Amino acid sequence: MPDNKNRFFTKAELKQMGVETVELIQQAVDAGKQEETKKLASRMYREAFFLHESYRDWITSLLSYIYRNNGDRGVYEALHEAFKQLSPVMDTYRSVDVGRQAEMLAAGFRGHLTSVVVEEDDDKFTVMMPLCGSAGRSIANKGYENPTNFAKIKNPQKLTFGKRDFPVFCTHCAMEEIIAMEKNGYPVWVIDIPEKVGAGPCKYHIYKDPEKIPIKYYRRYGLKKPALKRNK
Amino acid sequence: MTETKKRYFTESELKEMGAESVKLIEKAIDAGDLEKAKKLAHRMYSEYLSTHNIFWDWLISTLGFIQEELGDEAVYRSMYRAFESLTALADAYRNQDAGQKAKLLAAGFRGHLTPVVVEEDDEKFTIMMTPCGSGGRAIASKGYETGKFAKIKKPQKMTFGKKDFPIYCAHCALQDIIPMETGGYPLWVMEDPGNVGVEPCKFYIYKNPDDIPVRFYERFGLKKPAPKSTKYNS
Repeated sequence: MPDNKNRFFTKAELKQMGVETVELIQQAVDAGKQEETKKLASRMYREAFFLHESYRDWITSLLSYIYRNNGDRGVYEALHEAFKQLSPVMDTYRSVDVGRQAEMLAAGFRGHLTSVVVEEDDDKFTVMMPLCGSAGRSIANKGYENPTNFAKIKNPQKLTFGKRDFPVFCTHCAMEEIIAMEKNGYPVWVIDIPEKVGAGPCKYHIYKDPEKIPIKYYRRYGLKKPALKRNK
Repeated sequence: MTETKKRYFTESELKEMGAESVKLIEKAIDAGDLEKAKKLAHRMYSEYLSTHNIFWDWLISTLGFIQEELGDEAVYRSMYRAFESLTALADAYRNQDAGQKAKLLAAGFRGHLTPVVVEEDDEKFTIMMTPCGSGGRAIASKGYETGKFAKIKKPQKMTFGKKDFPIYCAHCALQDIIPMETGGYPLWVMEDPGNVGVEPCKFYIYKNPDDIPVRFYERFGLKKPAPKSTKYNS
């Protein structure tokens, strides 16, 4: 209890309020406080979740604004500019073997605070978020309906995987493929989206040998499959 | 160990790769493997930081695009639209007592994965990120120096009257302005340090909203509402 009636907290309580949760988890583990550690892990999850949803919705709102003012071209150019800047991430992927690529993609998806399914067959990895923590959660939360009304792209086009009424935030998935292909000729991963976006998981395939990436993943963007060196 | 030479991972390794870190921490604790729990906490931190920074990089780029295509007014309007939709959240926050408000704001700041300083005096709380994990991190990345990120050239409301203001930092002004325009009182007021990104911005939560100095309204061309004497619970 604070000794001043005008105060809510003691000095120690104020200090504790400012410590990063990951640090408190370390302290709780070292002190052998198992239940406290669990509670703190949940707290860290909630803190990150709130920020994640706020950032995603803010981006979706800005993309909606661009779509309503600048149309399809605006969304394409805004995304192209943003993801071009992120292309070093693609370079990092290309610098490691495909097993590590799958681990990195799964870690990236876990950063959307959702569980992930990773499958492997002889040709490829398939990585999915059963409930997509990125745009899928926004669709599930009715972000594209009244009163929030995030934009949907009306006309089928590259960014919408040829679909109509496509959630604006989901267009970044197409841009991630496009940027990678523009830069290196072939994508780091390719995506299969369900018939109705948000109704089932999108599937991200990482081919162990890029030569085995089916031609359909290039054609949907009007691109030709390049002749690749064998780097199995 | 893989089952065939064409495979990189076993089925159980693939399953573990898909499990959320928060669940694996709980599992490690239940199994008594505290060192694993520690490692997983760091893994969880890295996952969140990576997504946080990708989103924020994307946001700053998108704000820059809006400025270039449609001008400063559009930056203001697009952010207003984005934050306006958070009024339900703002109302819930408004109904808390000042102590709970301070706790919530500190938790929000910790979500930026950075240490926070919380101070209390008789009339208010002062909360700071040291260093700022939001706009400050973008400044520290030198994105504004290299021209990767845009600045707002002309002094205006969303730049707190400053010129060459980091475009992302403008959202802090909107977080002051929208609650004032929709609810009369701000949820908190922000004081920038003069050298944004070098020293921390200070966020004040006044225990009695009537005590919020008039300058925090006037800088946005707004009038301070008539006192309602809601001491210790706005």
